[in-house]
Amino acid sequence: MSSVFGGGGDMMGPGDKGLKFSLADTFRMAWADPDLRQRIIFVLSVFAIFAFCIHVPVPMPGVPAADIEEAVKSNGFLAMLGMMGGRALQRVSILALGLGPYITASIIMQILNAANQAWKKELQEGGEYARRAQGKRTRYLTLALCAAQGWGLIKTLQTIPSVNASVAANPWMPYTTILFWTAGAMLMLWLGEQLSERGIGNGVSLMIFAGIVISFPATVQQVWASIQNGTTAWYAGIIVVVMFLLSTWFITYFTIAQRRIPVQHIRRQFGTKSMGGATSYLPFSVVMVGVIPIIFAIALIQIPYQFMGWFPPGSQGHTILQNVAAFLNPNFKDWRGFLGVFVYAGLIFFFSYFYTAVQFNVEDIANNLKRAGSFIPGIRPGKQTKDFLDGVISRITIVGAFFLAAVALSPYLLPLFINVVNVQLLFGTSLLIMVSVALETMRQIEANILMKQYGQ
Amino acid sequence: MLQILRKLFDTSDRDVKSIQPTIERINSFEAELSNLTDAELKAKTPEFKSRLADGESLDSILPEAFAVVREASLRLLGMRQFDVQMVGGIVLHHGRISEMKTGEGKTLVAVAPLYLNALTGKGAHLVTVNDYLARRDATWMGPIYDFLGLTVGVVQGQSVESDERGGSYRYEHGSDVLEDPRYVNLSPCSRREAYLCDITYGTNHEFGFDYLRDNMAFRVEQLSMRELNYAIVDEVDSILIDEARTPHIISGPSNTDVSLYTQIDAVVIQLKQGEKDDSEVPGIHYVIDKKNHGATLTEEGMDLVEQLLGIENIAHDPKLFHHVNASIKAHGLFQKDVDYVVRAGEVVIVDENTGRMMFGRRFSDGLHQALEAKEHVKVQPESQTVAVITFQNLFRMYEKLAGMTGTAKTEEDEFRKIYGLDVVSVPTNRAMTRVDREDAVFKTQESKFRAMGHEILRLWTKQQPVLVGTRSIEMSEMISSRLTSDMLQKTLLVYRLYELKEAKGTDKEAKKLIEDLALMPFEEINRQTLSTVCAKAGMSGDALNDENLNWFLKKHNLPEENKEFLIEALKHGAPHNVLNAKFHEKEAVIVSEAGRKGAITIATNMAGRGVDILLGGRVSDAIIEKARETDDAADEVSFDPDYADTFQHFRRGGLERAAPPLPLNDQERRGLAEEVRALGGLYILGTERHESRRIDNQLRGRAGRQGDPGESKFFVSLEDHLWKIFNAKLLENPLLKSWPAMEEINAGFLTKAIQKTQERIENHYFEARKHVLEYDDVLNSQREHIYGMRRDFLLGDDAGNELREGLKEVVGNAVKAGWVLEDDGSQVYDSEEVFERLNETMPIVDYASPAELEQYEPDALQTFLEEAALKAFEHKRSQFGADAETVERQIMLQAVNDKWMDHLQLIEYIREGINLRAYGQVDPLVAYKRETFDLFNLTLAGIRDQGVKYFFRAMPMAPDPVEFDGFDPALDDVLSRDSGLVIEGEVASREPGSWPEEVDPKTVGRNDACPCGSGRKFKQCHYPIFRENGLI
Repeated sequence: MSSVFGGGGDMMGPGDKGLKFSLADTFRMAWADPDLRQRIIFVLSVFAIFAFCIHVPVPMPGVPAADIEEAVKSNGFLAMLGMMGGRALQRVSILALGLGPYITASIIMQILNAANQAWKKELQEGGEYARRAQGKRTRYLTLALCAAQGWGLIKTLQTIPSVNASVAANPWMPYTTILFWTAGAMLMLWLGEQLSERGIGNGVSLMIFAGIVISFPATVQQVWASIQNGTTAWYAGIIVVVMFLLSTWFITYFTIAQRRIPVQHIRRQFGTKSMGGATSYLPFSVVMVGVIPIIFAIALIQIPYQFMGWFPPGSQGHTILQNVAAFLNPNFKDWRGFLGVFVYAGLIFFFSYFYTAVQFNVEDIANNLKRAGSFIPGIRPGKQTKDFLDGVISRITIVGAFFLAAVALSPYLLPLFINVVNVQLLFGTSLLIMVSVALETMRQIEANILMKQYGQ
Repeated sequence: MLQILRKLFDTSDRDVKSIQPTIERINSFEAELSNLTDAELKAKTPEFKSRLADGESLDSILPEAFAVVREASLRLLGMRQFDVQMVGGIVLHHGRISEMKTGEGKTLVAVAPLYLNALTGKGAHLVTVNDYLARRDATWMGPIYDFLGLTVGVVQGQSVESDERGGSYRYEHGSDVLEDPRYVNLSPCSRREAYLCDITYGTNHEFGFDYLRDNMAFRVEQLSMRELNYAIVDEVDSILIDEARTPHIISGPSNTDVSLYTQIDAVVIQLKQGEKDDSEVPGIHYVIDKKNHGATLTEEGMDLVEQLLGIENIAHDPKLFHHVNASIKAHGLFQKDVDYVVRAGEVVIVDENTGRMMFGRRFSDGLHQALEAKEHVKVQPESQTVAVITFQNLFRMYEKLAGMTGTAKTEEDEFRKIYGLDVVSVPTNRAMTRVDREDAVFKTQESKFRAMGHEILRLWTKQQPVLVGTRSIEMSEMISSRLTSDMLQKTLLVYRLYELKEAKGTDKEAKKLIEDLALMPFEEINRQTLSTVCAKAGMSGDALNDENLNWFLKKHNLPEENKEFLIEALKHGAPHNVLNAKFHEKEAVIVSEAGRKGAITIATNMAGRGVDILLGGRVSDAIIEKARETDDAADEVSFDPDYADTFQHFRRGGLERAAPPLPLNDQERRGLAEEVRALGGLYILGTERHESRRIDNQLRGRAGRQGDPGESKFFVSLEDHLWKIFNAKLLENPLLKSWPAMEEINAGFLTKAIQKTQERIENHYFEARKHVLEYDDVLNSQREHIYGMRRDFLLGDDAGNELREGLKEVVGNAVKAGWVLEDDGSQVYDSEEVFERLNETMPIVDYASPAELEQYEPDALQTFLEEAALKAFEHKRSQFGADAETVERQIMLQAVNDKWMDHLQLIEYIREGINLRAYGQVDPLVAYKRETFDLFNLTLAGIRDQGVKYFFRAMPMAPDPVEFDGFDPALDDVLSRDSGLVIEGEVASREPGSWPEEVDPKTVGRNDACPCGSGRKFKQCHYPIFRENGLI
């Protein structure tokens, strides 16, 4: 998997984001080393705990689980939530909210940091201490969001008759439920942090990964079942598998892709010797900001659904919102949904640019380069560099945005051709997340292995 | 809450308790040992050694051995080690850190564990902070080791800054080779011999450098260190934490072209300089930023430079750009005679802290070259790193590591995580009675200085000795300037006025004037204003007026008889010493006087470390006895200029000189000590908080030794340097803003804020250290591998095998290179290409002709060529005859050196840019590990490759290479210790010619070709001749 947009002849190669060793080799070597072995085992144990906790239900007296399952299937919004959380929602488990609030809180904090000058400065100069303070603030925000999102979720669930009845009977039930959900969310967060420290890679990402992967067997089973009972044609199964593999390849290809901009350091006199490999460079991934634009777009699209719960069905507010939602929701079968496709794609483009600008402030990068005494050969430090980088990033973002839009829309395309339900899991956003996390974790494992290799 | 948990997990007490039984055992031996004769006691050592050889463990011999050491130290030095000292010794033996407060006698504590571990014959090291202490401790404890039959060595550094002699010594009782009372009992020896001693004292720098130098040696005889067995690090927090941030580097000259610098300088002179915000102003070509120590070209500047240099785009030529940047820095940020001086045709750096010239040090990154071009002196080549190691990794290499210090508990986490050392707090022999007072916080620096001046005046009047600890020389000077008579008078008056302001009976107008006074900086207050205000307030404007004096005495509860001191200070200024850590030994002498009644000593942190401050004054020793004898002939102190020089540091009010008091004998001292105790002991005055509480504690710890009374107090201002950097918001607080300037601030939240800021700072530095270490760890694995390989060669491993492997690789590469691309894109095999390639490295032409090569298919070609190459190899080998193995070895060693040097340079380059990877969402450390791994493999292959190249170019030399003449002081010359072989370029080796008349031998560089035309390097040709004749 060589870099597609390599910046120069001597900078090809798997580079930073690709992997060096084959998968089998990596695992073999990792298992051989006692330290790494322990870490991998730890990761697996935490996953086991997570899987167990999914089955711990929140007490909702008088509500059969089947009702909720039904509701989730029909309601798109709930379906997505359920999928990300490892079907926790369907089981009304304490982990129903999952890491959603935390992710939202992190994103909000990141944007605030970039926007608020004082905070940005503090983060730059404060080092570890500032990061920890930042972490604390994020956590408080998470708590707040747990409450807010939990409330919204309860209200949505109340559209289900049995749930509504239960609430009527036990007025304090929404509050206890929210409490349980908050506890569950924080538990997941804590598990994630433990993973970061004693496992491998980024713990929170791994938890999200776990959440998606755990739903796998169920999804496969569903597809299998629907083939069995004839709802889906037999060849559909094969198509699904093939599409899955193709998507994975496609996504991996783009995830690793980088545009590398060579950088020279003024302070060190170099250039007299060749390095036979990587020189110093500034790497810009094609997918600069990951799945964030998709998440934002989804969040925006789901707003009508969120608020729909506030209005009783049949009321004017409810109907208006329902109409709006239809326009926003991408659905190739419905003319309104068709418009929704464009809206969706447009949102993704917009957020790609927006979030990239937030994360990669070209002025800052140019200044950092200047301060560190580095420059791009052929381009003067200062304004020229800023303009150049601006151009590069804009062009890359277009490609990246196209890629993201394609990935995000693929789950909606598939039902056009074959009649398969609920396979969003296998494509689209969740696949993107899985690939990124998997690559990142493997990279870490590799790096640890490399350190021990020197003996040979 | 956290504190409770901490106490719960603090095992110190339990540790100490568990050691108690061992202490009892040690004590039980005492009676028996005291009855032994000297000879019998000495015989104990061989007895222990044989017991060890029989299989007993060190731990089982410990109690008796420690008791023996105790008995020996009692007999030889008159000091019987306390129980707590024994506890400390055991902790050290266990390979941990023993935290022992100042004055507990750490030097003596180390003797027992060193003795015990040296019995194994593998050697033990004691690491300390400076050369003076290394020598002092070795000579002090030397008699004990000598008595017990162990040898002691001292390794000293070569820096011009210290006034030590440098070199290596061993302890020989009764010798006086150098006729220097400081070096009594030490006789010079080679470094190797010093390390062969059972116990070696030295500084961390020396151990580090020796390790690196050993790994560049070419012969086994050049190796100085033995295996790294056991080390006790004195002042371990200072060495392993404070000094561990920067790695240890040996550099040598590189082969870069320096002619460009002069050209660039001619261009840069024509540029116009501007201040930081002028970048847009037309006509300004470059701006300088003094705060961040940077200089950058403006757009206009870049245009002009391109024009003057005649190039199109400066950014296309990194080399030029680099030189121009260095040059504008040299012109903009460095001033002659301030930041550097020009001496004897060289640019010499001036240390900003001490103001001394640092010979032998050069700026990096082309800066020094730019300065040389600026000053029109000879531009010397840039240096590059030849070997590098961090202290963390150096000390981790010891089999067993231990440390001692007065302040370690707070950093226990770091010690444990990085070095695997945990900390045991050893209780003091006598309970500590020092009083640590609350910080005095002031709003402005000015008010802080006033308060400090006032406090010192009070202490002087009281005649209580005070030690003022500062962070910088600047600060020391500032305080010293406050102790002139003028300043002290002002201080007294202003304080009285301020008090009157609060009082009821004073005039309103006067109050207003006093307010103003409080805000004015002292220099601006002149006598006129002062007298007018005083008059208005109803008091005398003359500080010496009895009324004022009495007020002062009353305010501070001082007795009437001290009035004379007050008057003396107000009239002539307060007499005090200022120390700046330039000369460790001289200052040690002065610091030890800090406990004398009425002494005022101002010292920076580094000054006088390791010196015990005895109350009452310094006790006589050999040096002082001699000084007393020649008391009248004070100007004739030829043998001991140190003592006479202590005059220089003694000031009165910063300007005059006065004679320091003479040292006392023990009787006198005890008497005086009692008096000082009655006054409250030594008072430590801290002028500001330091980067970590540990350093604050170090300062505090200087008082209150061995149960003596003492006091400590820190003076803090909100304008201090530290707050400015780390917590600028402190001053913004509205409550603080409105606080009256001269008063102490007593706000609860403030102490908390200060503490929190200190924690942040500590964290910040901890992160920096961890960061350095994370990256160095990667390099460390590589370094271990390479140095291990090198050592194998050095100690006799067959280098021939490596060379043969290298041969195969070279052949393989050449064969692969035979595949060439035709114009039409097809691949064709061209054996001519292979032939030429191979011929560059070895004379393949003798063993195969191009025609022969054509016959073979590429795969078979490889085998054929390998055979041919091996034949060539064997033939070449036979040319060397019996020396063949040595030659192979030397070549491989040289190849390793060269390639490792290149490797280090490349690693530095990668390190520089690795942080940019974060933009690609990759952890820079991970990326660093991967890239260096690739690089390392390339280097390993390169070593073999290079070895093969050298081998085929080497020619046997007729005369013998010059003998290695022992330790070479100039670090720059490290590269000169090469293999003694001539690497053939184009010049064949010839016999030494005649020396050309017009060439001055002093101007010829050692590594240059000898002017006589022999083709050899100067240092191997005519240099030794000149040296012998004393011409160089």
